[in-house]
Amino acid sequence: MKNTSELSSDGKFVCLRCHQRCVVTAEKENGKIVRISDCPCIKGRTMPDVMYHPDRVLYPLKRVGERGEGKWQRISWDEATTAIASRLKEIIDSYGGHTIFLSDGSGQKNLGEQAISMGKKLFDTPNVHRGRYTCIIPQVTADYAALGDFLTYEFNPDYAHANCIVFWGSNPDVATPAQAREARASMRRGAKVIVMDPRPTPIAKDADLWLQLRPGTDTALGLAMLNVVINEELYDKEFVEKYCYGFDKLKQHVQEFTPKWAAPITRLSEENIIKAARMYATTKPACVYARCGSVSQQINSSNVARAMNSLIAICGNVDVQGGNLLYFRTWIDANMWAQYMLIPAALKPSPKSELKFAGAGKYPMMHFIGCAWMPDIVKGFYDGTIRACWCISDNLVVAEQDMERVWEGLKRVELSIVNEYFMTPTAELADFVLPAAFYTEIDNIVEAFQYPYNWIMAYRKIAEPLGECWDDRKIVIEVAKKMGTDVPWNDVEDFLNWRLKYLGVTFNDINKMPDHKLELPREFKRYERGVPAFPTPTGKFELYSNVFEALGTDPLPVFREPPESPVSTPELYKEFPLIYTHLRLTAFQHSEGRQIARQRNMIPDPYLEMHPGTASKLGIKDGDWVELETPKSAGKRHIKFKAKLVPGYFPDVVGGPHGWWFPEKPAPEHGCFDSNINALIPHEPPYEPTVGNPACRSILCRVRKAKIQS
Amino acid sequence: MAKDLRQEINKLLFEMSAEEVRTNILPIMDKMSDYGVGKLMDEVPGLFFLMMDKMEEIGVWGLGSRAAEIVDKFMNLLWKGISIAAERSEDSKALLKNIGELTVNLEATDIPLKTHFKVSQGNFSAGPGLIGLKEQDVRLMASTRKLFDLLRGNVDIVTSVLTEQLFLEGPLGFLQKKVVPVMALIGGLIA
Repeated sequence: MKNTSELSSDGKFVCLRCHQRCVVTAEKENGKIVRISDCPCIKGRTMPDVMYHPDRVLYPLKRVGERGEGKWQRISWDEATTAIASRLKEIIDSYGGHTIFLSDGSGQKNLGEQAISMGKKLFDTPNVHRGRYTCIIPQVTADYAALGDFLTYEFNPDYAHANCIVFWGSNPDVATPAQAREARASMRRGAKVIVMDPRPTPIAKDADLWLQLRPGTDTALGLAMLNVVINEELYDKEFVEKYCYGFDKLKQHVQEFTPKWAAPITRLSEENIIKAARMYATTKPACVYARCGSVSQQINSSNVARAMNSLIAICGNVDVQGGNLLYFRTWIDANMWAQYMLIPAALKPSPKSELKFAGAGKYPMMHFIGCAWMPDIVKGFYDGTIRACWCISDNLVVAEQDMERVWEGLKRVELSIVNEYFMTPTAELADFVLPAAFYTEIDNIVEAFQYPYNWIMAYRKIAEPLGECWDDRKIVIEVAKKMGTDVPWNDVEDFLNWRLKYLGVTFNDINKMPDHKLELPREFKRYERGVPAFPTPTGKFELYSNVFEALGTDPLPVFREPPESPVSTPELYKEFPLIYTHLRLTAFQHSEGRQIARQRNMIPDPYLEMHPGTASKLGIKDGDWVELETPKSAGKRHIKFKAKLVPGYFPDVVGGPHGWWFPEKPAPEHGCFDSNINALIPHEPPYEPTVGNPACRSILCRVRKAKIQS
Repeated sequence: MAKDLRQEINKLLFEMSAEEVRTNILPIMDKMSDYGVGKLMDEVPGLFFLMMDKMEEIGVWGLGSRAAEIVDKFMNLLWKGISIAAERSEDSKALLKNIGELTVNLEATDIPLKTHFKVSQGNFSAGPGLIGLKEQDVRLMASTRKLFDLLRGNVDIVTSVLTEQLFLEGPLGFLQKKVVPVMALIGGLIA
């Protein structure tokens, strides 16, 4: 066994505490990581705080009391893997592999995805959920249908070369700070910025044009912008003619969606809609960065993304320098990538099992992307169609909607396993809690193809795993071996080498390169070299989606009023006169980090942003605790936030964080139902038409000052 | 061709009842194999296309354990036929050379059919069973009927994959760039 200093001489690795792919350096003293340098972000800097936190789970634990009772017995890895293998095998033999559900969240970003994809193959189950369908999935689905690739995701915009940057439902200074720095550098050299956001975000305040639209009306805005660009012939005729399919249908479709039509829907002026369309279409090159504020968590999500990717396409901003880059610069990248990040279909179970995925017949594209449909999974906890649940870097209870049903459902499954760093509410309900190694304690390959990067990095562990922590991927491999499964990979390094097979290099080859990086050539306009240009049914960028048509959903983007809104439910709006939207917090990645003092000190309490005038009418002062309830939760449950009064909000819009729980509160719940919007959102229709997520923003609510101010 | 065999094939394709086909197809395929697939293809144009129609007509995939035996045997003949046809055509050879290296597994969801084909250095080869994950580029899974449609070139592959009428294991880009043209070639050779 080599010692750590031989394995990695310079301490460089990729921070995976969010999606940014920042290369950072671990500084060590006496074998212990004491500092993360080259890192401007609190989430990266606090990695040692996570690693050496006194509450970190360091040994395999087996439940010995009732579920949630908090009685645990430390066991060896041999005991843990033997027991888990035996229970999984019993379940598979009796009920089929499809009754095993594997879930990962954004924690251990990239590791959980790898581990559950391996598990999909090794435990023969199609029922996995990666990330969340309330996150990237609608956007990816819309992009895949249109062009067979990502286009609107946070990796795609080429800020550095753009002369116009659109932030659409995204708050880069908080969510993607490394990219925000690139964007702001471009702003300083004169790039124009358009922001579509109901909230007065920092970037909105600095924008050339801020379109403060009503939550949930992004598709209406997108359609109106398409109307302007097409009718004023501002589009890229050559790109449209050569590479697009369905332009005439799109043109005809958007005729009725004029700025005049969109203005009252969106609360924008006609002039500003026209101005935005003209600015984006004529200031070339231009890029768009869309995130959850627009393209997720609503029943319109995939339609918003379709409108956006259509705009990007017809304005000729696909994979041009300064536009929205195709993440895969070459076909080799593309092929490698599927293997590499295991999206969307690099590993599958047996055909017999594959047919039994949750959501079968309802949301096939979501399954193609790699997700089972959560409402059916949770139902399966109760009706026995899901017998085992294995969460790998996923605080499922906190992250999923209808969380009380998830909570109760997890008590009913025959087997619950959680790989974690800390005792989360989800871990508290498990039969086995397995100590997961941290990013710094594993060998890994990480790609970064977004501007300004174009490389793959292969790094060895920086520190030995603490206690008896294991790499999530090793856990899956070892359990599968004990089940007698034919495992295609001998160990994690063998797995990593398999993922690199299309590049013709090994993990070790890249590890030995300067900075442990394989730099790839930067190429643009990949479609000019592709045969066909795009991996779609027509081989073109499908403005009219044949795939969506085949799925029985809208082949062209369509605006639907949110199911609860001042317009669709005016009577309900009188009773629940506020529109809830989400916001991200600088200090945290989703539900992580609440127990890390340096992060928590930045934001000690969950807060609800609201307009000062609205607060005043409700007798609420800045810093007061408030209670929020929705039409569906009223009388049953409310959640609490501290009021944060923010001028610039619409008077009828409030914004709260997601994924909040309180590690310091009593187990097993740890206050997970107290300040989490997911506690108020049931798995009930209407659902988003392509991926089936319930609406968890752009929903009505009401707020009152809490009776107990603590 | 032996006159008897030709008569038997004609009867199988055009005269026999479904029940007779189910009873006789295996021994006839044995004879076809013994006779030589290359010669058969010259003498009965569209043979494989017609046989697939016939198997679809009799609902071969509903025959339980016999289904796999029949389809396996048929696939063996078919792959030999495609290999021979590909070898005979300069256009096919050029296309295959352009494809580079490709390993595709095909697996049925309704019967235990597992088969594969490979393209390597301009040559086509195929056989029973699945190639291991590490060598495989793409695995496609579907009902036998859908796989037959796929082989006949009657499937919009990308749409089918994205709507999960075909289940894909492997990269979508690989599918569009390499698998789609090879399946079109196979469909053309079968016709």
